[in-house]
Amino acid sequence: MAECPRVLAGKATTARGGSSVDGLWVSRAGQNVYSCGDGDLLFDSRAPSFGQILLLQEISYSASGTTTQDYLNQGGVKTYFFWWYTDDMYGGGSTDRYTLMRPTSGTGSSLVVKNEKINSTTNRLSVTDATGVAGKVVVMVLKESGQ
Amino acid sequence: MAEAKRILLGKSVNTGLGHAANAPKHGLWISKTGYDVTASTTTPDELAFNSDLLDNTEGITTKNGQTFGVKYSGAVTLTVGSDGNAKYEKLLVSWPESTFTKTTTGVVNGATSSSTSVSIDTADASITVGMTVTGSGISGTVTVTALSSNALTVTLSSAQSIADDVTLTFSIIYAPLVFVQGAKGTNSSPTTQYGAGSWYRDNQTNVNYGVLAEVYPKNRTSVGAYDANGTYGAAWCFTYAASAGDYKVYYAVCFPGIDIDPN
Repeated sequence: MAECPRVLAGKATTARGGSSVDGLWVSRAGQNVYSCGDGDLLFDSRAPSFGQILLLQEISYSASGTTTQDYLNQGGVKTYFFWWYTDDMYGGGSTDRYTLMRPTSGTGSSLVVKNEKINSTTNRLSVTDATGVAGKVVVMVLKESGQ
Repeated sequence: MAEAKRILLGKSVNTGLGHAANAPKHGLWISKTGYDVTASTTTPDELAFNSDLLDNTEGITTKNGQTFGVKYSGAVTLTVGSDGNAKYEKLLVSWPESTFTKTTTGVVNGATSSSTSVSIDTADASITVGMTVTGSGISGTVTVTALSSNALTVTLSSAQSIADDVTLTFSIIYAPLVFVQGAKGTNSSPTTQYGAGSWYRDNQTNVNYGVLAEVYPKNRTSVGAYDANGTYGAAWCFTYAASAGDYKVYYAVCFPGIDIDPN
């Protein structure tokens, strides 16, 4: 059986917005890109954001201080970032893991992770530790492309 | 009125995007609604998609603008009792370690004799510190501890004797990116969704953490338990009791993998 059309580049069909619209669309396997619902698209050039990842990696931080890591902001684009605490993700043992946030007791915040624009080319991630123990965090920075 | 040109596929000489006629770029660029992707007045911040995201800053392992690819997704029901600070947890999903393993090869350039230093024929940026090394002549568990600046000399964790032209395999297990979202259920139908900051982690510390995910890239069994010889990775969710009931926890396990601190 012939595979249904999955890539549409150029003038849109009715389901993609009509003949006055140009764009690029890719549908999921088994879905006809000409007629499927928006929820069955892998790629839609009219979407406001694509969640492009600039970096996703561990950063080691020092005890009782602030550790910084610069990265390029790709022409000053807005960025979003997320971070997770990691015990020792690859070191060996039952706590090789990362966690959404650090499971800690008390009301104070043990780690403060920031993402700042420094200038037109550079952003800076900083990790400030108040626990007195060095460690690692996982940091993800997304290129924001919302409207 | 005609819509603005929004897709540029192929060669770009748009100076607004940092390209030039004498130094063109090739790729795919998509501008936001209302912006002409070919106009010199359009800037990178006005792009919805940019295939030209590079970063050579020291300490950064760039993802070059890669997007999420969902490998596994689903939901589990986490039943929470009314016993104060008790921790409730449940396996979300497990996967074979090979699902998130990067592998590459290198050919030995010159035999070694009881040496931790080995040269390879061709530089390969995908060889990184921490990778496990296997191949003819490799004895025991051996990892990469350092790379030369030109990436042609690899330092091993123990001395090895390897013949010339042997193909070595470099591999490393990576942790996937995992998202979770909790929802309070009435029977089996989620009615209210909870994110970080809206769900008490426990009653004693009054810290709002929401539902958490713990992601283990390796040494797990197929049911998510720790086993030093396990060959699975796993993701668990947990929370501390706030109010009793059934909570739906939705998850997505995604590419790309998380890179180890290169420093």
